[in-house]
Amino acid sequence: MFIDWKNREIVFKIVYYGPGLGGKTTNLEYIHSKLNPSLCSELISFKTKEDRTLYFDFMQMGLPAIDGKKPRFHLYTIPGQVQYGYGRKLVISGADAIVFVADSQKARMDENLASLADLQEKLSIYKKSLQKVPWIMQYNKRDLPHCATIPSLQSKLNFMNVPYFEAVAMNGQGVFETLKKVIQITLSQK
Amino acid sequence: MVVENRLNGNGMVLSETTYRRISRILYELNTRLRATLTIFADMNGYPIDYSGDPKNINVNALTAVAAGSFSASNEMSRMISGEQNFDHVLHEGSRRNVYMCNVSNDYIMILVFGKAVPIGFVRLLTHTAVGKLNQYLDSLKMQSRHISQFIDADFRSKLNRELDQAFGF
Ligand SMILES: Nc1nc2c(ncn2[C@@H]2O[C@H](COP(=O)(O)OP(=O)(O)OP(=O)(O)O)[C@@H](O)[C@H]2O)c(=O)[nH]1
Ligand SMILES: [Mg+2]
Repeated sequence: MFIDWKNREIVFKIVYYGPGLGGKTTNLEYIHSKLNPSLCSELISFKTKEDRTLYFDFMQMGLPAIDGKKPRFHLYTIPGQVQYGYGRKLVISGADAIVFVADSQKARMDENLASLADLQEKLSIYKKSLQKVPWIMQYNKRDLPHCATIPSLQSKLNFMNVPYFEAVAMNGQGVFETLKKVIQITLSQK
Repeated sequence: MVVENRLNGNGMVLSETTYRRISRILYELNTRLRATLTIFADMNGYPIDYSGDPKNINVNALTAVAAGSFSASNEMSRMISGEQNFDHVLHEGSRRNVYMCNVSNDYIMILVFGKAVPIGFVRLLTHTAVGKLNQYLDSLKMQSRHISQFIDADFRSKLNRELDQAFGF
């Protein structure tokens, strides 16, 4: 979190984390396409030819002033592909809250777990942990066949019992619900 | 807003006095260089303050990208020379250049300026400005305080209403 005196803004950093192809970029693209343009900046994406995130996606969302303070949210996604660990380390630094976008497909369970472990490891570089940083879970791609059931995902991934949302990011289902929740937990952190 | 050096665990709040001093340094640097934009930011990509006229440049987005690029350049130099070479990076564009350098390990200066401004001049003046900024870095250091000191239940409930409106709930 950062307070900008010049513009009377309170700025928060929210990071979408999770395995490659889980739908992090799709979340941001949907948010960007639906929000009133006066509330958000352009969406900046560093992508490979194949549309995979190379470094990060970034957009800023702003809300009208509340009690003279303008809340601003910097939304980032990390590159999920294993080889881009450096980008993940960079982006997670200073995160105020995290959305973990899990891929609901049964076949992706190992990747989900590996990404959670990677997240914990990256946080530890900054002397943080999943126990200390506020985070929530999004079970994405609920539209696909061969999805694990919610109880199964909950027992395998949500070991800390954080709030979770079901989503189909591609058509926007659950996307704004997730964003609202992560903003709420960002502001109510103990 | 009365927020003097209050912070949560991972945030920062500038006192208004520190803020004014930093503003002054940036203003002088930007004016003397006739630069387009001079940004002082933290390494996480938050602009702390800037001077100049951004015109069509989105300062937040530029800072996020510049911090990322600076950090990647450093990582590259660590890979090839084995040491963290926090120093400076110059990006030459077709119409404007971008010069970046670190201020201690935690902050970064980003200057956007026209091709007519000599690089050596930019380096020299930026170096001097960084020296001055260094004096104030201690007062930028964070104290662990709770976020609730400036975000209360009332703020949160108003924010919820704004979110519902923005998200069409
Ligand atoms: N069926 C289905 N496909 C989805 C959904 N969300 C995203 N996708 C698709 O999944 C693919 C990957 O989505 P991205 O958003 O690029 O994934 P990412 O998590 O950003 O991946 P990396 O950038 O590599 O980390 C794209 O083809 C999306 O269209 C969903 O809810 N259902
Ligand atoms: Mg992506």
